[in-house]
Amino acid sequence: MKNSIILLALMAATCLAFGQVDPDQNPNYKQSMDKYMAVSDSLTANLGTTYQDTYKAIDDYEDRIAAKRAYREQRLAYRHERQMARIQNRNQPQYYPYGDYGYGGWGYGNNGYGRGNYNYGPRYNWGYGYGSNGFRPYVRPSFGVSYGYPFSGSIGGRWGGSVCLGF
Amino acid sequence: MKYLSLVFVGLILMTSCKTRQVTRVDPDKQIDLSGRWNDVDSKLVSEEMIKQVLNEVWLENFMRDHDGAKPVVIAGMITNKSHEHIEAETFIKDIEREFIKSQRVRLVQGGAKREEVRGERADQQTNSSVSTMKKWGLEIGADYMLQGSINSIVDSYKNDKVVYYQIDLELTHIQTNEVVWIGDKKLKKVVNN
Repeated sequence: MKNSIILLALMAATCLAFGQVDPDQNPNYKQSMDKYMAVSDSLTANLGTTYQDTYKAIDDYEDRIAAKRAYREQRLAYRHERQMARIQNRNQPQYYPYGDYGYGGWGYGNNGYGRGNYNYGPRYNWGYGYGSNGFRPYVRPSFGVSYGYPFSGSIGGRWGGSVCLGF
Repeated sequence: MKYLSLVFVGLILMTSCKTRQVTRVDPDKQIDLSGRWNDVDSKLVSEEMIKQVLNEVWLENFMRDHDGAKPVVIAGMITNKSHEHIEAETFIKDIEREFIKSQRVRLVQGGAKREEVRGERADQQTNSSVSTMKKWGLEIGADYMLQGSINSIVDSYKNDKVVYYQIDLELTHIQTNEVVWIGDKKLKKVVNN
């Protein structure tokens, strides 16, 4: 009896020393309390919300559709780039210093070209085209001129007509 | 010719306007499409594990040794060592729910959810009334931890494939480190392409 009273008194004293209110309470609870009190804001910030921890499931059909869509978008983007490049290159003389064989006078003006006659020999070609900025890409006149060594030359028009002189 | 072209255009329009159809079905209905891990496998695992864990001797032993007290379990980590993405939570939750429903095993929270609960308790220390504020150091300590692993073996030849899954769960006593229960479920599937 006496021992029990002493034991209870000791437990009570321990509880009081640690600030405990429940005899079953963990005597080290303050360590945990301090730790969580410091971070309680971040731990409770997402209460009532849904944490999205998703993953991408294997779905061949959807993957195929997505690949098609991506391909189409890329194609459209490329087409747009080409269109923009064509618009930017309008009204600028374009030189084609290719030593081609047989086709003299490629005259590129945006979309039109003039083709010269059949000539031999290395030659220097250049073409020049001009046109309006309106949406009439296929009616812009252009012509090409070429000349070659020893003595040849040609001039080509938009519709392929050409004049050629050679020796 | 004109008529034919109209029919052709109509066919193209019909095929391109095919609508997606969705039908609700019973979750217990077995539907296997790809042969990969699916809801049927998860269900088979949970049913088998529940049967084993609640009917084996470890439970009786614990209650006998602790004057009828129910064991307290905390869910630990399940390691997926298979070749597929498998979410173990689908069958672990089934087992946990059955623990609570059966009233034979007690469950304590673990992981991120426990952190969130402790964060809320910390918040209460400065915001809640004294009469409703929850105290520290009075959580229930778990007796056992539930851990497990998922393994798979794939054998394939030409268009055929055999997939074998083995799911193991075990209960370990947290104080003594003694493993008191191991449950397993084996699944074998043949996939013909």
